[in-house]
Order: sequence, then structure tokens, then C-alpha cells
Amino acid sequence: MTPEELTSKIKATFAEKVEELPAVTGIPAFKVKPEHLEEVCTTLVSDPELNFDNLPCLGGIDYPETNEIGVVYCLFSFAKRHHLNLRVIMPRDNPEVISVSKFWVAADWFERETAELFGIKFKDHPDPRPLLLIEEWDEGYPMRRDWEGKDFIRMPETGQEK
Amino acid sequence: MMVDSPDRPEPLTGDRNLETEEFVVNMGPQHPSTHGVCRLILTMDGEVIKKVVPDIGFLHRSIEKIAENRTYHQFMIYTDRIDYVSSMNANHAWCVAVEKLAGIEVPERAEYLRVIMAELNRIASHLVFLASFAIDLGAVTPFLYAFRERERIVDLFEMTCGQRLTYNYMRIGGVSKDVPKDFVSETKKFCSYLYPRVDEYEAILTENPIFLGRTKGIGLLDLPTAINYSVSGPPLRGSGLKWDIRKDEPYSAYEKFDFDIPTGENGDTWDRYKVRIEEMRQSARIVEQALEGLPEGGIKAKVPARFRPPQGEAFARIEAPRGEMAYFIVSDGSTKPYRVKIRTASFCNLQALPVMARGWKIADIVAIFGSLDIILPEVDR
Amino acid sequence: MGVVQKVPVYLEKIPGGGLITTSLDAVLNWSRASSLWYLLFGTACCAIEGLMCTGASRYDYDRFGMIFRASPRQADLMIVAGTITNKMAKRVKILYEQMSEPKYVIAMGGCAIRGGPFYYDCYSVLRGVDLVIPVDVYVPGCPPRPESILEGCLKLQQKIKKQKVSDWSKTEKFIPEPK
Ligand code: SF4
Repeated sequence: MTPEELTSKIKATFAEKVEELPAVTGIPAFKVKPEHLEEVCTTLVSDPELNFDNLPCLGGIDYPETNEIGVVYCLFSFAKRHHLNLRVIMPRDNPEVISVSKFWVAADWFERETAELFGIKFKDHPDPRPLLLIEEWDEGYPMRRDWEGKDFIRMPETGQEK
Repeated sequence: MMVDSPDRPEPLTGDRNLETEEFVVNMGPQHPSTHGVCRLILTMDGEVIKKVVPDIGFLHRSIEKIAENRTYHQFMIYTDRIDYVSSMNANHAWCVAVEKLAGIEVPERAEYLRVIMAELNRIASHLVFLASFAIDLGAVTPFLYAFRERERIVDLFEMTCGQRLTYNYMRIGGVSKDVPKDFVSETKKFCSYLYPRVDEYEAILTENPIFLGRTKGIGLLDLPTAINYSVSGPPLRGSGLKWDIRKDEPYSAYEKFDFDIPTGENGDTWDRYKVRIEEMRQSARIVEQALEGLPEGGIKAKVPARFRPPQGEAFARIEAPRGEMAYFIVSDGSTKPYRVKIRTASFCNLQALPVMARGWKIADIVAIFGSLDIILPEVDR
Repeated sequence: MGVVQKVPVYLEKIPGGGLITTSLDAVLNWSRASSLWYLLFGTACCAIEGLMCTGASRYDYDRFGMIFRASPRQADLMIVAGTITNKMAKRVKILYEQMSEPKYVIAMGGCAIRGGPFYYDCYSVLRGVDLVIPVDVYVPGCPPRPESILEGCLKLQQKIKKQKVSDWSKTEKFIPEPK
């Protein structure tokens, strides 16, 4: 499907459950409420016209100014050759969203990584152990933008940043 | 870990009566069959693997955090270190992503040079695969042969950018320098030198009965599982899908070249090996074509030192030797990216190891692990 | 090591014993320096240059009597090739302790020396492997060229040739505590 067809198809299928965002370099992007994510993903996988069978990328993103935190899902369909970008935005204090690893197993490690580095809880995750950090890590969530650790040294300004 | 998928055959445990007590074997983090550190926790039933749990993070260097504190130009050196066996491809992915974000037009000569470098690096990377794979299976000769050829590629790179491993050759909007004047003739010589060498490797390995016994039919990965696990690159093609981002979503100048996409049939270890061998030949073909048609002109678009891409997001992916490498960049209009998510092929490919290894003997895990060609810094970033 | 360490202590007391220890030094140092078996232990980028390229046909460690060993118990030399993260630091120390005496360490590349490119803005990298194990020779570079790592090995051989057997009985090797 072309991006335009996909956009209208998704709008028609999900109506007010999704909210359109500016496209990511030609890829249609949508915002989904955390409570609708499971339903939306079920349709995305099972609908024969959408048929998103592959999850190339999943990552967290932090917005301390608005006190929000989000998860970005980059989806792809090998069968139909189209991309989609989904986003879930949650409040920063106790972010919780459903795990999508039952739709795409690839999400398993991506979610473990995101949970560990951003502090987002993935409900019903099959194996919610930490993945990357040292076993006795207790300094919070390092990928949050306002994180400061005791061993963390910021690079001095080089003058190229301005 | 979700290692069980319902439609897989029963593990090869043989006679049920012979079932023994399970025990756990710890493999790694320092293990001779990996260059990098990865720990595999194997649950064994006798000699048969029942379950594999990879434990990663021994090389987590927080590159995504660093990316938020560097300018777009400064971050280039870190891309080299994410995938050091094919730095050119990692550079290339970052350039493609940033150029997409800012809408920069790259001069044609630069695109051709990028393709040449990326393909030479793909050959070099597959040679490292061949060397370490063969040595893991006990064949020492291909290791020496493969590194002999790799040194010649490294010489070509050194001639161009002065480094042997972490090249930092590409720049946003082009490449850092033009190639020296003997480069074209030397590279042509190298390409014609490579074809017979690849035949030589095949003569040593491909039909070798010991090698076949260690690889044929081992570590099967079927296509739906591969897609669901987001496996990419040679393992995906080995499972039979004709999919290559260079062909299907062309970036740089790849649409101008004629090359084939090798695929396997069964998705076993041998298929993955064979796909890589064939890819070396195809890469050499691309290099030859690119050298033939190398246009004159500028090598770098004008990009200011204090480069500020517009506010927005970009997702770009390329076909690196190990599979799909993608960057998701969020820009807030300043000189530093707001967020960079790096998607690397090894991360997803390693995740599929438990499915492939279940039911095989402990000696096979070395072959299966080797055939995925995992680079650990790419897994941990 | 036990007996070898004790012998010079007693020998030096007898008249003319110094001569014997000197020749003993020469023999032992010569054999140690010319058979540095290194542990196959690479973590990151430097492993390709320091262990694979240098071990392969063009540069060839074998010329210096250096052969790779997969097990730390058979190795004399640990080339720390690559970034050491906090998670790995403990394991590096265990590997070092498993090696048998006398043992030597070469820190290869910026990362092993002081964290390299991962010094700033980084929450998981150990800033220098000498915080957990003692280092004999530092080889700078990112990555160092095979020539420089070979130079490092030659420097280590020189260092070994200056050792005295009698020193081994007096000094305990310093092993820093990990953080
Ligand atoms: S010193 Fe440079 S090349 Fe060596 S491991 Fe560190 S980053 Fe990689």
C-alpha cells in the first residue's frame, strides 16, 4: 500500500482510537492511547490488508518538559511492503503499557531494554528481567534525559554545540 | 524467554527412556568462539540442548546516551564503533538517516564512492565471518587465507582514509576525501583477484564432508519464525526470502547496479554460510560496476559545521553485512540529536538463537552461533 | 612457583650463590620472554586488530613465540583488547586470577587504558582496566596498529628479561580492589 492509502485505511479502521502525527520521512505515524494499543495491534497483525508481520525497531523516548514518556514502534510488512510508525505517550510518573511481544516476538528484548533504561513497565511481558546493565544497578533509569549518576561525567563544551 | 513455538518438531532427544537429569552449562562471557563477550546459559539433557538463554550487556557502552550529547558530525566516530567489522556500512546508515532528516542532496560521485566502500567492507566483513566460522569448526587454513585477502582490502581503505578498522570516512553530505589516483586500478586488480580466491574457499569448505556434517541441516530457522523474530540479513535470506534492502528499498546509488540476491532453501547453517559466500561475489560485481561508471564531480554537499537539521524525525535503514541496520533520529532543531535509537541486526538475530539451537548437540551451538555472525558491540551498543 | 621462589633466598646466602641465581634468572627469563602464550580474550573493536589481524598471516604473532590459548590456565599474557564495561570488570578480574604465575597484562587501545571515546557521557564503561588488574604495558591507539601491538609485546619481553627471580619471593603483586 502507498503511504496515503495506508493513512486513510488506518483512519477508517480505527477512527478516534488513533491520532495522526506528522509523517516520519514518508512513513505514516500515529499516536495511540496505551489502553487501545492491544486492540490496535491485534487488528494490524490480523487484518489481511494491513498484515504487519515484522517489527524492525522499538524504542523509548523521554519528554521531561511536558512530563511525558513514550514508546515508538516501527512496523513493517514483508507481505505488503509498507511501513508504519506507532507511538504511545504516557505520563512520566508511572508509565505502563501492554507488551507487544505476543504479536511480534522481536519485541521481547527491545522491551526489556526499554524497561531497564527508561523505566517503562510492560504489562504481561514473558520475561521481565533486566537485560543490559550491571546486575546490581540501582541508579535509576539512565536513558531519561534528566538522569544524573554518581559516576557520570559530562563532556565539557567544545564550542561546536551553539 | 519465549523459546517454544508450537509448530516446531520435537527435540532430538532420542529414546524417551534414556532421558537423563537436566543440568546447566555456562558458556562465556569469555569464550574462544566469539570475538566479543556473550554468555549463553545452556540447559542440557545429556548432550542435547533443551534451552538456551543468552545473557548480554557485557559490552553495553551507552552509545545511545552519548549520541544525545554529541553533535551530528561528532557522532560519526561512534557509528564506527557500533559495528567495527563493517564500519563503512555503519557510517553509511548514519549518513543516510541524517540526510533524510535534513533533506540533503549528495553529489553523485560521493554516492558511488560510498557504494564502493560499503561493498568492499561487506566483503571484508564476510571474510572475517568465514575466518572465525571455519576456525570454530576446526579448520584453521581458511582463517589464514581469509585474512590474507582482508589485508588487501584494508590496504585499499588505508590508502583512502588512513585507518585500518574504524574508518570514519563518510561525512554528512558526502565523503571526507576523494580517493587517491591509484585506487581505481588497485581495486579493479583486487576484484579480479578475489573471484578465484572465493572459489578456493569453496573448494576447501563447501563440499568438504566434515564441514557438511557439521553444518548441513543444523540449526534450522523457518521463514515465519525468522520474520516474527525480526531476523534480517543472510540468516533471513538463508531461510528463503528474497529480500535485500539494497534492492527492495534502494538507497544511495544501489538502484543503478545489477546484482543478484542469493537465497538458501532450508534455513540451516550451511545455507547461511553459502549466502555469504555468494554475496562476496555479488559485492565484487557491484564494486566493478561502480568503478566503471564512477562519475566526476564534487564529493561533498555543503553542510555547515554547526549543522542544525530541522525539527522532525527520521527512520532510515540500510543493508549492512549482518542484516538490517537502522537509525531512528528525533531532532529538536539544535545541533545535537534529541534521541537516537539504533537498531542493529545482531540484536534481533541473536534473539532467535534459542529457537535455532533447541534440540541440537552442544557442539552444534558453536556452529549455529558462528553462522549468525554476531558482533557483540552491535548487540549491546 | 613455590620452590622456584624459595631457592634464590637460600642460595644467595652461600658464597658464590649469586652467580647461580643470575644464571637461573637468565634461563628463566629467556624462556618466559620467548614463549608468551596469550589468552584469547577480546571484547570489542581492538580484538579484530590485536588478536585476529596480528595473529594472521601478515603480522604473525608466532614469530615471537606467541601462541593463543583458549583457557586462562594455560596463558601467561592477557591482552586486554577492547572496552571493559562495569559488568565485565568482575569477570576480567576472575580471568586474571585464574591465570598462573608469572602473568603479564597488556592494555591495548584507548578504552583499556582510560575509557577511550567512552570516557564522557557514559554510564557503563570502566575507565581503565588498571582499576581492576595490574597492567605491564600500555599500547595507545583507537585501535592501535598491529605494528604497535607487536612493539608492545617486544617491550614486555624487555621488561621480563630484566626480572630477578629473587624479587618474586619478596613482592606480592598489587591487585586493586574493584569498585
Ligand atoms: S580503543 Fe577504540 S578501537 Fe579499541 S575498543 Fe576502544 S573504541 Fe574500540
